[in-house]
Amino acid sequence: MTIRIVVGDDDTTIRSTVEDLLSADRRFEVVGTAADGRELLALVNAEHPDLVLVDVRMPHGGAEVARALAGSASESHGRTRPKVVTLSADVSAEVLIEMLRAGAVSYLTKGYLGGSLADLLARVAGGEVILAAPTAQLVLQRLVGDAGDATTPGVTPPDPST
Amino acid sequence: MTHDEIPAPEQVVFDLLDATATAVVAVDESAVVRYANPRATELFGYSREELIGNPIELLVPLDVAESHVAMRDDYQRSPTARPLDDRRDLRGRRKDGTEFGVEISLTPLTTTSGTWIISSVLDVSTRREAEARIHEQSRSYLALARLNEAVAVAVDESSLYRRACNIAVVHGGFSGAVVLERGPGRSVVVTTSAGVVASHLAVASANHLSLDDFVTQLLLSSQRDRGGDDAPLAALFAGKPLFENDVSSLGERSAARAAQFDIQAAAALPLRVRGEPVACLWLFSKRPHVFSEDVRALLFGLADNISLALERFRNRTELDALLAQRTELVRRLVDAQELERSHIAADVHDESLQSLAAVDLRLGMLERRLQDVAPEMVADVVRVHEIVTSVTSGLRDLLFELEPVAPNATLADLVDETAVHVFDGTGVHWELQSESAASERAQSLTIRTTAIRIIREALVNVVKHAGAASVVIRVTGEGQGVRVEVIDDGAGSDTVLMSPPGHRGIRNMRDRAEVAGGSFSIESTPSGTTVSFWLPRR
Repeated sequence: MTIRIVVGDDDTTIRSTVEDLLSADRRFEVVGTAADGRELLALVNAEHPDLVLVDVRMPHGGAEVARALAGSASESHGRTRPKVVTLSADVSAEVLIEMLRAGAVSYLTKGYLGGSLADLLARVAGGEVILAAPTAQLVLQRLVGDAGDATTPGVTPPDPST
Repeated sequence: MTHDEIPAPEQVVFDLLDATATAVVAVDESAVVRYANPRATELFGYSREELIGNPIELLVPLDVAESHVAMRDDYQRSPTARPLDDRRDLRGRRKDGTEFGVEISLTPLTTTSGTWIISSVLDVSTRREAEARIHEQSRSYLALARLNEAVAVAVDESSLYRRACNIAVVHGGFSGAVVLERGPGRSVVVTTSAGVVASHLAVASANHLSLDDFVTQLLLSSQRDRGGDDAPLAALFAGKPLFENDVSSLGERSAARAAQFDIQAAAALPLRVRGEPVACLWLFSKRPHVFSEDVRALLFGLADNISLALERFRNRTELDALLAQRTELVRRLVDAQELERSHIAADVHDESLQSLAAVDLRLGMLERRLQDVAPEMVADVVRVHEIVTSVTSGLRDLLFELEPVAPNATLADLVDETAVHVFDGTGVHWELQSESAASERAQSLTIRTTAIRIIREALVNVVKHAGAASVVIRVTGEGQGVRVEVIDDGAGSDTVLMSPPGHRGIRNMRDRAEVAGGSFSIESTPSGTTVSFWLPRR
């Protein structure tokens, strides 16, 4: 069973490189590529892929795409909702958190993937969450801290200065 | 016995009284004048003949003559030697009808023709006038003291003018006080007013003048008459003070208008800022001749004090404006720097980093293929790949420094992220101690940006020069701003302070802090270095 994937990036070099790389891998079928978020969503609606690889900075990309796909879950007619994977050169904690909140399930950093991109995507398709970014630990601490606040009302987290 | 006869046994007494300097009048039991000494005739303006044989009430003011009859009857029932109560405002009446203040002592004298009452009469009108003047003067001093106090505590022009006018009327005894300011061109604006003139005119209607009308009329007529009412204009435009002690000597029209408001004297005092007249304090009095040398001196002193206060207000306003301008300039400067940085960052991100990312992926792909077809070449490709990766890392560091500060992140979050990035892989243990209140205190993005740029520079210095094992970053609230300290346990001073890059870094940090209106210090000992800076909250 091949993993059906769409690739969204406004940089043509990246787009064609990823397409070449995944097309050469028998585990994947690239069912389409898009240069902006709207094009990408149309593609997803038409092709119902398993994975959506999305760039943060392309027009209407990033969180906008992730939110739209998370919102359309009920209309998926029994199909599994596609998993959104961010592929970005951006590593700031803010951006990671925004993407995860919008519904992305993994975050991969451009420039350090080498030959591992296909393997990582296969693992995400298999259900793993991968945060491959230097700020991942910080992001996790913040998200877990926030969740802790929300689930234990009345308990004030200790003041970090004391 | 006729009234002009002095009983023989008492003749010697009256001979003596003839020679005294005090006016003396003697009356018999029916209050008829039987004796008056030369000083008494001089004082009351009657001849001896006109007085003797007439009732004493001839010398008493008409309005109290009747009550005087009753009082003297009382006295004659039990006559004793005593002065009449000085607190009573006793007056005498001259032949010409004019009245004057007196003090009177009464002495009963038993004569062969019954009990006579001898009154010695002292003219105290001059003394009372002097007393009144002294009272007036102390009142003026008191008013001036209050005014100076008001000047000292006033916070702005309008409150100062209001207080000054009020005190001049309530404590200074002036019937009216007005402050005029220069308007555009040669126009005049009534800023503040108090007292009779003001309240008279406050009831403005179709039939009554308003205060503005009154002032306008005065000013118009002064331009027409060239004289008289010129006072406020001259004070306002030429800075010339003017005292008019008797308005009746002015032109007919001016005098009539002044009479309408019961104004007898007026003064116009210029108020200046940096030597230029900007306003005029105009005082009115119901009494003529109130502006004695002393009062003038007091008023000049007052005008000087008000002028100083005005100068103080203007200086402060200008200072505030300068400060606001500076803050705005700093914001613009930081904005411009950040904009420039973000342009460079976008270029790095969009072009170099994307291309390198593509190269990274293709090299990865190539390595895999070579594993199968030419494994001996893999090592070379891996070496190339390593170089590409290190270039990527260099660019990413640059990007991190250049990218705009996340607008919604708190200072603590930004510090966290910066520390993670700078200390990643260095083995330096770091800790952030942040009062959440202090972190939130850095409200403006400009301040957060400045703070995080300085902190980053300090952390990079720690990694590059200090050789520290651990670092504490402390963010606390201090005054109207935020204090940040970066404390390391490294080798300290010389390497950090003396090496050219370290030196340049320190200058950068100091510049950033000072441009934002804050302060910066660095302290280095062999056991570590502390960088400390403070930034205002906005």
